[in-house]
Amino acid sequence: MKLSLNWLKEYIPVAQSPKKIGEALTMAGLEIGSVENVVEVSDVVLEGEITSNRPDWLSHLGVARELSALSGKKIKVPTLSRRKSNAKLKVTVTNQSKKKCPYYSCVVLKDVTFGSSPEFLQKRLITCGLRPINLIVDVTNYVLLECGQPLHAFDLDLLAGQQIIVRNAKPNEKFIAINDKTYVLATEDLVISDGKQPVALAGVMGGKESEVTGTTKNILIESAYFDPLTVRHSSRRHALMSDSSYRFERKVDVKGVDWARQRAVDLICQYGTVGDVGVVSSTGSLSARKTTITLKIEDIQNILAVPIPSAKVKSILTHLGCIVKSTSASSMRVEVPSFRHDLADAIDLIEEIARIYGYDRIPEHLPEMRMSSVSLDNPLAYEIQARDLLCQWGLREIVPYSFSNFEEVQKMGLNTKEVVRLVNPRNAELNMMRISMLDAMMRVIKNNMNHRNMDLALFEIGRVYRQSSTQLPNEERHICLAMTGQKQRGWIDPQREMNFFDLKGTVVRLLDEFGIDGLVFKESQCEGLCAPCVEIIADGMAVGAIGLVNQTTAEVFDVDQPIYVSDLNLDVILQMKKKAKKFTPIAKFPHVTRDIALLIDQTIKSVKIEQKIKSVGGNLLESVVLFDVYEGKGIPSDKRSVAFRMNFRSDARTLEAEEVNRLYQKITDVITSEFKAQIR
Amino acid sequence: MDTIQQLEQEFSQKLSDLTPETAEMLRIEYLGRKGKITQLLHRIGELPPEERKGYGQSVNALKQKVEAALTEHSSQSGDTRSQKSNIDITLPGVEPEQGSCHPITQTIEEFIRVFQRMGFEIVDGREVETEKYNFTALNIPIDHPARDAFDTFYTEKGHLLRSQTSTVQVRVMENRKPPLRIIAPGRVYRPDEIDASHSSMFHQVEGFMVDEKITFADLKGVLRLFLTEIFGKEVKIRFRPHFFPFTEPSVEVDMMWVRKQITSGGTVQKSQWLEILGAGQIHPNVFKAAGYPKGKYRGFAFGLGVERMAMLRLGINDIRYFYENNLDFLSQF
Repeated sequence: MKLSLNWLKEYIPVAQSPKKIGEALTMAGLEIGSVENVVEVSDVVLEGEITSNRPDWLSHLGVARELSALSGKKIKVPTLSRRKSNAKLKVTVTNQSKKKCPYYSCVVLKDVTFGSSPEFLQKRLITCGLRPINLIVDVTNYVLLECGQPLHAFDLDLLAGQQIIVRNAKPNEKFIAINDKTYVLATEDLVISDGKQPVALAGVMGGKESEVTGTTKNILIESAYFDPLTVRHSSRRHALMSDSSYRFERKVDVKGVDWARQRAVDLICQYGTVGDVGVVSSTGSLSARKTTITLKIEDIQNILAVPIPSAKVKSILTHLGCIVKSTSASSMRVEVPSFRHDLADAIDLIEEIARIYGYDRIPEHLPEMRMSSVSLDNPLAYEIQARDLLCQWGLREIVPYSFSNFEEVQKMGLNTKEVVRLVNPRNAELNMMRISMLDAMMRVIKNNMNHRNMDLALFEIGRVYRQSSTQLPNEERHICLAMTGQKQRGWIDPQREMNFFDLKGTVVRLLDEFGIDGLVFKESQCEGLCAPCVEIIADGMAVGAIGLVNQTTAEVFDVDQPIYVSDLNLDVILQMKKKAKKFTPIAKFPHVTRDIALLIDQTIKSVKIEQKIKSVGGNLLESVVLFDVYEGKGIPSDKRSVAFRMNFRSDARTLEAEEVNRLYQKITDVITSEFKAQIR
Repeated sequence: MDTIQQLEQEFSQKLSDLTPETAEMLRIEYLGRKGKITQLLHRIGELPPEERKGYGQSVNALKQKVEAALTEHSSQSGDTRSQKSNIDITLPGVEPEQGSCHPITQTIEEFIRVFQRMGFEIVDGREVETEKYNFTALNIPIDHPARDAFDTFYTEKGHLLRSQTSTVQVRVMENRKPPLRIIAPGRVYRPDEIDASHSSMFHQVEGFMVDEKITFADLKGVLRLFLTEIFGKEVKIRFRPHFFPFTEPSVEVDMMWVRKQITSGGTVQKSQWLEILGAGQIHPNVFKAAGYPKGKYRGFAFGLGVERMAMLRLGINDIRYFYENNLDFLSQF
């Protein structure tokens, strides 16, 4: 809202600089974004951002009232003229929807001669960003900016039957607005109609055909109170916002409806020539019910932590237009003015007091705290732990949108049965909440590859959304990891491609940090992935998967390079029993190391051999670790060489070489026979 | 079996044609775990007790002599462990692999740490919500212009994507009694036109504190402490009245932001107030929606825009960078 400083000065004396006025208003809650000179009209414009609770600030009088409360000076409201009206000069007003239009009034001005508005009025409109047109149009705009009540002026001679009908629009009824656009109305729209057709979309915009022009002679001035919701819906439905609809939506002052109409008539009579003024034709009435609030004095201090004297409180409220009906030592009865719909409870008055008293004068204090129980097993704590670890291990965290594209997800072959679809997506491409972490990850990878970032180790901690039969959808926490391209190394180590095992190792390590071990990797078919692909099972529960992104998905995102992805279900992980870290006494006796290298069939799983070594090794075998795998040159094509390092140790004595050799021999015998393995 | 004298002779001969490469071998040969002198020492047990003392002394004397000779030699010819002298030490070091957290989560975690020090507890809220928790319970009537500020995505089932983390307020209060000190970070959604400063998904951190005697002064105190922790002692802030349906009195906190601008006339410092968070005393209607007895509790709530704070602090000029996740962006933080 643009405010003219010259205009404000008509109602309230202001001595401060424009900048200071702007600051004072800002610190009272009416944020003034800029204060600028309007040189061509010798004025200053204050650009105010007005919150939706203060429609009274959408007018110069309203802002002047605020300045009055801040400065303690009184405002001067223009007085209305008393004039004779011609009782015969009127139109018939029929109101078919009292609910949507509780009050409608209009007045006829006959034989009006007018030209441009007076200079002062034109200048003020220019400062406020409006273009002066002619006296009649300018006056309706002027009064709107003066007191916040929208008005409309019709060319009376263009109203069929010289009558006004307030009614719902007929199905598919057409309406040409003064912006030259044609609107097809809905039956929920409220229109002002003449004997034939709609001449205004109530509270939103007037019609082209009855517009006041330079040749207009007889005028009908409308001032009404339209139901805020009706105006809001019409304005939304037709994407048509106006200064008028903006104010009606936020509720206009019931007391301002008649005042504004009379004010407009006064101005037209003063600056134009009017042959005759008719009587007011109206329908309906506006409730004059007054809101009275009881304000407990102690509550002011309880909330604001500062004692404000009753006299000061009374002065603030009075300058804001309230009437303090009675005051006792403990409370005050306060009647709220008709233009302050936002004041309903004591707390609203306390805010007013705080605002005008000054937020900056309220002390600052740190609260005394009472202890409260804190839930420990917080999912966010696990998210933070995972995030820190993965970053330390060289992965980059991504934060993509949680939206997906339904068609794309279908093409990927993901299950779309329980998808949460959006009714009003911002972008037709992102029309659902994601059901998998994979597509967002792929989109990020593709975007990076487009920027020639081919070597990526990424992760995201986020959610997937699944429609549930019971009320709200399930939001499942997941961690998605992806690796592709070359492993980032310095110049000493050889370059190599990231693979399945890089990802597997990261996942195992992460789960171990969470206190989950005894993982089982089951070869399986996972959504969007292909072999090598495993399901990760811990404690009988599926906690996630690791695999290579399958052809279909790679094609959807147009990526050639192999990408390994792991998806972990953090919600399942959270429910699982975690092993706490516990101290094991440090061994007193040295360990003995023996390596075993085996040539085995490629079909044999190394984990089986490892398990067998463990079972044969018994108590004296402290650990067994696979430390080398080789396939290729020098080895038959269906064979693989694997090597394990075994540590033997007793916690009671130093092991004899002989003893270890016997055990080693036993292990060797069992492995070679059971797995048809050859010792290398 | 070598005698002490034989060993000494043998060592002096070898010492005469010692090179840096053989010095270490010599050290192992004589002084190593299975070295010749070490073995001599081990044999002390084989001697009759009366001879042991003299024998031990002679072996130790020899050991010291050998050590001294080798040390002297190495100080003359450089450390025997030293590798080739033509190493190019200007080659880059091999750095450990280091990933990075996203600047959004870095920012969130930093805020969380500050509030945790003040005794706040982290709570997580759901994102797909009902009208109740996103609007009605927060004193935002359906179809009210106040809702324009919280334009919202709806799902086919008539749920919505929360447009603010304030949903957590009533969710928590319904189940728990004060004292409460809660911090709730998370994703929120609004169908804004996407541009350099708007996104249809972004992050907020909601915080609130409820007890019997919390005042507006406490709100000011806590928020100043937070901003001082984040921006430093010299931070200049102001508390400006504003409107939020779910708080009353409501406040917006502005921070004086100083920017250096390079103009033709040199560098100019430009300072301006920037809005950084919204807050207020929790509206009695919110307590009512949570089922708290009337007038019993008071508290304050605040909401922080994470992207906005991250952009300000890191100097990022386009919000879209956050969600593109380009490595060239991520690796900067």
